[in-house]
Amino acid sequence: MEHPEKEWIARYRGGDVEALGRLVEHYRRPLFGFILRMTEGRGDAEEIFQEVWVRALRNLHTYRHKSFLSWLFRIAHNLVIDQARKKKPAMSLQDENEEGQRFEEKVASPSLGPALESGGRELGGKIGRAVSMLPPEQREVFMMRMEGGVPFREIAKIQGTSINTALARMQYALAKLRETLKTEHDELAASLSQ
Amino acid sequence: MKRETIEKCLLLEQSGELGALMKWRLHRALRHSVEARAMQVELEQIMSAQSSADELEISGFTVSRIMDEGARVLDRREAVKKHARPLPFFSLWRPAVVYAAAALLLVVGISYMTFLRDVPQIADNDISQPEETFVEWNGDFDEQITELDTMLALASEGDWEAWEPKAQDTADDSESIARELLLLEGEQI
Repeated sequence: MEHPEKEWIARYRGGDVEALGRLVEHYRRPLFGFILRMTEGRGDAEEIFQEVWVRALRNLHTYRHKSFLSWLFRIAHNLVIDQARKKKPAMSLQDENEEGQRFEEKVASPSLGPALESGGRELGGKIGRAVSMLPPEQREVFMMRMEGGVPFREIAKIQGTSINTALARMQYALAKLRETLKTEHDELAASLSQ
Repeated sequence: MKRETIEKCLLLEQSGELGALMKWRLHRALRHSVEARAMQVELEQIMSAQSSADELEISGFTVSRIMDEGARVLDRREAVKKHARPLPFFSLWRPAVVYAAAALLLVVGISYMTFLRDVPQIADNDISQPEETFVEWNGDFDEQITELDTMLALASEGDWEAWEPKAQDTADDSESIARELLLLEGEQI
């Protein structure tokens, strides 16, 4: 089936709670990946992930969007902003927490476990760290696009900007990633030119 | 195409938002430019690396709380359905009255409009097509007309006496009548 999520939504509305489980699993990766990158830790991310679903379920009757994931991203975007406002507004990446650890070090590897630091996931790990260092707006565009496959037009709506701004943010993000991954990029360019 | 434009086009093509013309231009650039091809491969590489970057497992506790909330939302909806009171008679009766009144107004309105449209037509008919009147032919009418013509002709000539009865004639008539009456009674004057 092309859009099984639509069937799951319909089944859940019809009283089938198991269909909800499938729906949550279906969107877990893009949604949680996005939230994880936009927040400061796994605990906050799980809390927001749960809250996104609670709000989505309570307002399911108002859902009219074409893409359910875009709708979830929109809710997540608002919750991430709310949470950021609740936290210290003037917090800097150079500030230290109670344990004397700098936030910069913390967000640089917010959720990367030891498994990610080795083998074929090395590049993924590098990208992950580089993405975490991006400004929130650029990080958000990058994550929505790369993790959620949300179109730029939709991202622009969620961020309340134009499609050109969303594209420019993505380009800035890519430029910074390119800097970080300069070695890999040069090797790739060399292999293609041969 | 500029490097920046190629990158924008690559991003838009990836998201399925690139128009046909720009798509054609992009593919032409990709055929001719090594740098453009490198950008394309790099973008794909970042995407596939990003998608395998994290172990995005969520704790069972979080999932179970979502499921609980989902069940609660369904229960609440069911409860609302069950406890929903049937509509009182007035709620059903009132719309019926409103609809009937609206229908009546509509009919009256249409009738009135039709009436207004017809009234001027009748008036116009009265003016333009008067009722035909049949007058029975009177034979004296010719004589009267002839007399009137004569009078007018005489009046125009200024001879008024021509048509007035003569006093002498009148006197002769009275005498002859008196004579006849006396003869009848056997007396001679």
